[in-house]
Amino acid sequence: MRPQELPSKLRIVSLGNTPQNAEERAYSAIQSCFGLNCELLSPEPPPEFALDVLRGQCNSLEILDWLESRFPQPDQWIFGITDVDLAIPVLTFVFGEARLGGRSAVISTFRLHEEFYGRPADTLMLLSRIEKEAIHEVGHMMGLTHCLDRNCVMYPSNSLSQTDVKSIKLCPDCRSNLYS
Amino acid sequence: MKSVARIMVVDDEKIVRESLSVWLRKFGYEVVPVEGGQEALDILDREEWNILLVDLKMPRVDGIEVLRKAIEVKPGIPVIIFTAYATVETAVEAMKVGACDYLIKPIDPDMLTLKVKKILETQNLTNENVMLRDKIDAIYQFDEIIGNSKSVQEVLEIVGSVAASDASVLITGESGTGKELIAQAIHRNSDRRYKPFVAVSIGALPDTMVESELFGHEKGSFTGASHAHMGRFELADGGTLFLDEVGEMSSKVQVDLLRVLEERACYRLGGNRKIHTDVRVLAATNRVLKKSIEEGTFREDLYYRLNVIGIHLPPLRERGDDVLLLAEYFLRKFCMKMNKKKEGFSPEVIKLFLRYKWPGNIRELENAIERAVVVGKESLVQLSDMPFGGGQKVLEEKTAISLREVEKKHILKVLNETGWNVTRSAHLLEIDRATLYNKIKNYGVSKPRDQR
Repeated sequence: MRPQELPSKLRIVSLGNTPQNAEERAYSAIQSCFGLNCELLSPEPPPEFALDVLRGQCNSLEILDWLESRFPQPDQWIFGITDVDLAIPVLTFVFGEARLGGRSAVISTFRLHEEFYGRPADTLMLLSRIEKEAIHEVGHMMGLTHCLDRNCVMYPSNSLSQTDVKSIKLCPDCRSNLYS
Repeated sequence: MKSVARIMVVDDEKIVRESLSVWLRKFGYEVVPVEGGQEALDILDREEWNILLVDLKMPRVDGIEVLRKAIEVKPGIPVIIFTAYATVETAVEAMKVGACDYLIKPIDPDMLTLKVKKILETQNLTNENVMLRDKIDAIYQFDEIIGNSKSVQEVLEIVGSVAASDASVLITGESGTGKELIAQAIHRNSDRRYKPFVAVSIGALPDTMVESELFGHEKGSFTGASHAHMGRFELADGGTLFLDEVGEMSSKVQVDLLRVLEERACYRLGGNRKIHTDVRVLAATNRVLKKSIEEGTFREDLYYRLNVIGIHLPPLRERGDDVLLLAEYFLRKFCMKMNKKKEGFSPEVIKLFLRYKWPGNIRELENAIERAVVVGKESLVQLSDMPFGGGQKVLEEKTAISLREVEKKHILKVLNETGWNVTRSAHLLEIDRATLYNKIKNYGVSKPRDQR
């Protein structure tokens, strides 16, 4: 699936409290990887509307719906960052969600913290993971699917070790697919 | 371009099937969400599917029913059942009916990725395997065993009837009569044809190497054994082991081989682990083993073990017009290989082919024709293209002294010219090293003192 055309602008918004500098780092990572015109918006409240009380997680697909209706300009893409735990009904969690070839995406920093795994906080690590997840989800918005190259940022990561191993860059194949 | 894997996601809950489909599409798969069991069955045999992901609890037609029908319609199709209401009973039932996995909702994304990937990898390997088997069958459709003579037809008949069994076969015949070709034909027509065919020429190996070659060795088992080494018996596991020039084995190797054949297991040199091998043994020799038994150089028990079925290949000189059929075949083969055009053979050459005794049998004929195709200028192969130094000369000489004598003299001449370099001499003589060693042994040719 390919996006119809690139957006005039990719808008980045935090939903609730997010780690310090998270939006800025996502902003520069997306801009330098894809050359998109990015804009930081004022923060929005946490996505409680999407909360599944039984699971204590927010439904990432509902967040995408909300983002698209809150920021409806069709020529602009919207990228959310939140610190709540995300999931889709059939899976235990997701690090992020994007419409493949669509105009919205969201990532969660909840499971990107070292503290989540009982280890001491590591801000540098956290910010690097945010950058990778941001590029990965925007890659999906650009129409890229998962890549088999473990070093490519489009390699699917369902665990932090996979996120940490892969680089922040697109592999040559993905890069050429991007503009084909 | 690689074809895209197709996955069917069956769940009555829209949010589940849609979200799972969206998630899977990001892997590049083609995903079709289906809202119920009946709908799944309706489209199941209309299209090709790589995996079905099916919810267990659905109204009307449930997941187990879909699984049952799916396996009936498309045997072997991988079906993953998932459910939010897992019980031991449903899990056991799903697996019994033939589900390839049973997952509990919500599913760990890492686990699902892994399972889907594993299934697709297995499918790819299976497909590749089928493709390669077809290729193997296609390659071997054309048999090099050519001949209309009664003796060859009889041989082919035996090959056809023994191939399917696991019986040992002893192939006898003069050097160059195509013993390995027969062994390959037996292998290719047997149930072992997709497994290895391993040939080992015992005559070409020094005595000390034979055991290590056949049974393998462990690291450090002798000086120079810097790595562990798999023996030919291990390499041929599941397939066929062709032991050429079995008559050249030392008595020690004969004892070891007999033990391996009886126990169907061997030990590597210096090893104490018993290695079980499922190997069919085909053996060949140009010696008359009965005579070797009488002379006490070959064990009688091993002979009977190897010679469950015996195939004797007649020498070319006893095969009448087959020589012409073979000559035509080799001419076509080499013309194609060297991109040359030859119409056939001159009448003189045909006469020569029929009169000549062909001591080197088919191999000699093949080499002669290869040479003729290389050097010949005319559209018909001429006598002067033959490698016998003008062809007729050999025939004339034949009447004066025996061919055996001619061959012995010639071998000695070539060996002396190369300073007794066996590899080079074998190359010049266009025979393999093992054959040359045998001939040296048989003719009792020895290196002159001053060259030792």
